[in-house]
Amino acid sequence: MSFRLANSASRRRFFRRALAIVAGLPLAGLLVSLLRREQSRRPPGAVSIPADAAMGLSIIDGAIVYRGGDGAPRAFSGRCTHLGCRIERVVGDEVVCPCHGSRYRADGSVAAGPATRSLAPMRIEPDPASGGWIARASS
Amino acid sequence: MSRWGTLGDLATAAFVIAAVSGVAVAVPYDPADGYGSIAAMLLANPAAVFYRNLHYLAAQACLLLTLAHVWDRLRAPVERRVPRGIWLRLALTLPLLAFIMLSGFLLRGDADARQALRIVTEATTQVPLLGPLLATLLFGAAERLELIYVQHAATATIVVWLFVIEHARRVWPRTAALVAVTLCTGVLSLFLSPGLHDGRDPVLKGPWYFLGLQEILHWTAWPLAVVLGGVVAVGALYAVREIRPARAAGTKVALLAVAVIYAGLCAVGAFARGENWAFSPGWPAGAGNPRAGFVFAATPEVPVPLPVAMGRPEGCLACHRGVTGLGNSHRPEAIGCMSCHGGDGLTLDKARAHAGMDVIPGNMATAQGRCGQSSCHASVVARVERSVMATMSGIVRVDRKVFGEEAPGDARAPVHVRQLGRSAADTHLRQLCALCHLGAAKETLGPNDEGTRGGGCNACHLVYGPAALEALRRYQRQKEGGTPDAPTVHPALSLDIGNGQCFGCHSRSGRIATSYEGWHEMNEPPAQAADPARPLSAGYRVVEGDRVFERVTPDIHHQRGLDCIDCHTSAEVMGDGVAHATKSGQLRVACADCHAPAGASLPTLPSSALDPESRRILAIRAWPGPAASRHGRTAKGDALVNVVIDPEGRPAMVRKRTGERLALKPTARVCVEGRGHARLSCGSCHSAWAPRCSTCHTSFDAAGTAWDWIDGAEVRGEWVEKSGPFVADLPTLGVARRQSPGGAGRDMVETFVPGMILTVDRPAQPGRPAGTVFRRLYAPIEPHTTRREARSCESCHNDPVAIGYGRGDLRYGPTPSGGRWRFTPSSPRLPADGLPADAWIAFLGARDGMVSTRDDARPFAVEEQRRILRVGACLTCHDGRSPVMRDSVRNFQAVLARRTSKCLSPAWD
Ligand code: FES
Repeated sequence: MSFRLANSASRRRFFRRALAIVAGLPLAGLLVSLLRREQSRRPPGAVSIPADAAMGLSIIDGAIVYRGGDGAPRAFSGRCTHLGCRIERVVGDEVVCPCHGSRYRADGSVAAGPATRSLAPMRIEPDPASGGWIARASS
Repeated sequence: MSRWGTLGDLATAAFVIAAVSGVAVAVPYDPADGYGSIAAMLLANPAAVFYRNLHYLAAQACLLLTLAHVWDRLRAPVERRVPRGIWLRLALTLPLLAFIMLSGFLLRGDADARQALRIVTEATTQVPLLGPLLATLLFGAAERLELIYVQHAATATIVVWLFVIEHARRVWPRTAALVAVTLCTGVLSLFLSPGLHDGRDPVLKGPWYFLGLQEILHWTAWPLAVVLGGVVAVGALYAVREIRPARAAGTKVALLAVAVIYAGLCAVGAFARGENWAFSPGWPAGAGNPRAGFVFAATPEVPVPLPVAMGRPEGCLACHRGVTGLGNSHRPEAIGCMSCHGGDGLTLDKARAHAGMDVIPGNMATAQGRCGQSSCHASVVARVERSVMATMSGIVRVDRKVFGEEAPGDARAPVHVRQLGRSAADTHLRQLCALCHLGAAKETLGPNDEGTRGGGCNACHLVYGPAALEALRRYQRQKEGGTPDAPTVHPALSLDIGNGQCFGCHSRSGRIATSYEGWHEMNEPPAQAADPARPLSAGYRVVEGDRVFERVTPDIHHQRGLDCIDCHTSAEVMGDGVAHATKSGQLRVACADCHAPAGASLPTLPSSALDPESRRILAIRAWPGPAASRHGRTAKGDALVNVVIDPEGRPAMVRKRTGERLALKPTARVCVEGRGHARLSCGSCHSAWAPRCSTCHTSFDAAGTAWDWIDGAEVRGEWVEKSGPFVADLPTLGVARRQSPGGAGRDMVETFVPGMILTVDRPAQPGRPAGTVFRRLYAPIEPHTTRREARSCESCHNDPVAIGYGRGDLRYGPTPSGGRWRFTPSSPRLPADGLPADAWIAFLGARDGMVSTRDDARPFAVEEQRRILRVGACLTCHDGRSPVMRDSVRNFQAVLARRTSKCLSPAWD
């Protein structure tokens, strides 16, 4: 394909655009890396579950915690899988998202939409210092 | 064009006013603490509040006027006169304006804004390819407001302003338009302030113009549809300039239709959505909504620095200074007033501050949002809500069972008093029982007294000391006379729980609160009770509701000074988090947890192994003396914080309220000897008496009216109860299955009283004609009348009441074929089943079917009755304390083998 600069005006336009691209690319790159930096500052979620945490469903420091008959806790992220609202209420045997009303069961599965995905499970580790447990966001 | 200019001029004017007032708001606003800085403005800076109101109202006006202007111009139609580039930029102005409005909402930093930020960040992130970049660029990455502040106040505003200047071909709006909009928004700004949601109100909503989106998102699992819808709408707006005029007209109508439908959805979101986006029509009243009130109203002097509670400014403390009495954990200086009482702590105007306030917080209906806030007692409130004192599950189930309304398969399912329906059993419960549960609301100020029932957390923990009571009396006196000063001594929220807190509910039904203290309710008050000239002697007590009690034998533990809470642990009273079907499922303590079987020692655990709740309780109680190194442990594994083991290994109970120590003794040797009494519970021998009421009649008067405790309303149709005579007598014995932790259930001999020997005249219900139900049910009871000395052998083996026959003459005598027991009842036989009125079973008879209020309890079987009476036959000649009878407990067969010819064995046929 041949490419020809018709006159001096279009030549000027071409050089201006080329300069903008040459200068803009590294700036855009810088911007992207700046944003990446920003994202990497997100803290990892770790929640301390006390040994006397309630049986059944409860919300501890934003995590959804369920203790069944054997007392062992299961924990799920309190972040609604629909659009990320923080779930703050236990209603009966379910937790409810305040923003659009998604409901989740004690095993994290969806009981009613709009959410379609289960809550993200968290890893549970015993916490010898408190006698309870630590729940960590699964990576 | 009107004299005020076009709609476009008015919109531009509103934009400029919003931008200029925004500069004024920016002075006190701090993006690092958006909520806190706005809260400070609301409390102490009326001028800033005015500018914030102006900023908000001008922005809303700008949005509405812009939309009206767009429709006005489209109708004209003028789009083809606008150059293509400018038209494109104008179309883009709408989403930019929406972004400015939304980012302004996010800058509130309140509960609504924080959730909205999560939603918009997530929705933007989901945009294919550019999503994450765009989200970070617009909203930042870590729920902070600084970047949003810059995009709101600078980037988007400058771009929109440039587009407007380019479009309007002038920098400043027309003076007339500016004056008109300034006047309207300025006057309104004196009285209307945008809300600030502190997070206590569970209703969460976005800004009004996004409620339509929130509604759409409620229905769709694919949020990108919303983004796509927005892009299509802006695209369509741009396209009307490019496409054929006929098509453009159709597109405009379609855009108008979409706008009208969207406005309808916004209205649904505003007026018909409540907590958790559930459908609940009503006027929007949440904390995030605009509030009315004169901005420059006279208020008390603003304290410097502003009072702060829970890290946030709180105006309540400006007036309610120096309130004492609440104890360290609930000090107002630490947690403020709003944490418990709600109201509006962001104004110093008394009327507005007190609007919507919860004067008596802690009732079950609001406990989760008050005492149970996530940073306070969330797990405890969740436990209490599932406990039998809140659910009344056992009582509800028994009543439905008696009425024949228990659904098949329901036998073990817990129920909740809140879910009562309208059946005969449920209306009976609503009228006669549904007052004694923690969900019944405390509605009047003052200490819990003999008539108090319910009150949620207050039922146990609200304690009025003398100073708080005096402060309340003074306040009430002042109130009668005019304007009262708020009391400065608050009742305590305390672990110092006296028996009086339990009295209101537990002096009824099984009456354990009164029995424990040695009071027996009389169904006929003594003659002098009606004569004011003759006061009742110390042998009687009149309690709330003119109930008269007579003095009988108290529980030995009461005599030793123990309070209810000395035995009943927090895990037992507030529940273990599991909703149990009956009270027996929730019980966690037993006599053997304090009284080790003779020769054995108590189970204990080291203090280092105490659970956090026990440790907290110990820290709060701070008993005098050195801390124990070992504590008692129940058979169910719970720590008993007040059972301590001294260094010599001797167990003692510490009285929780006083710290006094009492030695704990093991059981007598006879309790653990031989197999004869191995199945007997401690109570079956050591309960001195139990209140018995043998017959009652329950009927329904369709013409009467009664109070429905659940609905809190008078209803037509009244349940009327007539009871038979009350007596304080030794309890009957029977068999109940006791679940041992981790092991199989075990049949134990327990104490029973006639629970329901009753006839119910049941009204007709849908699908069921009226009828009469007769039940003869005994109920297991822990009478709380424990005595050190056990009941006599004869009181069980030779007593017809103990075995379940009811009162009468039980006699043993010889016949030609051997000894024979005979029983002549003293109560008349009831026609319904031919048994004596107070009996549980027929003499040496068996009963099937519904025999007890509890499914796992029953009277003695025929063979068990014979075994009891076989020993009873010996006791007709041998004294219960004689060596031979002591031997018989250890090994009855060996004693039988030593029989002489004088011994007369019973013959049964
Ligand atoms: S964010 Fe939870 S339902 Fe939408």
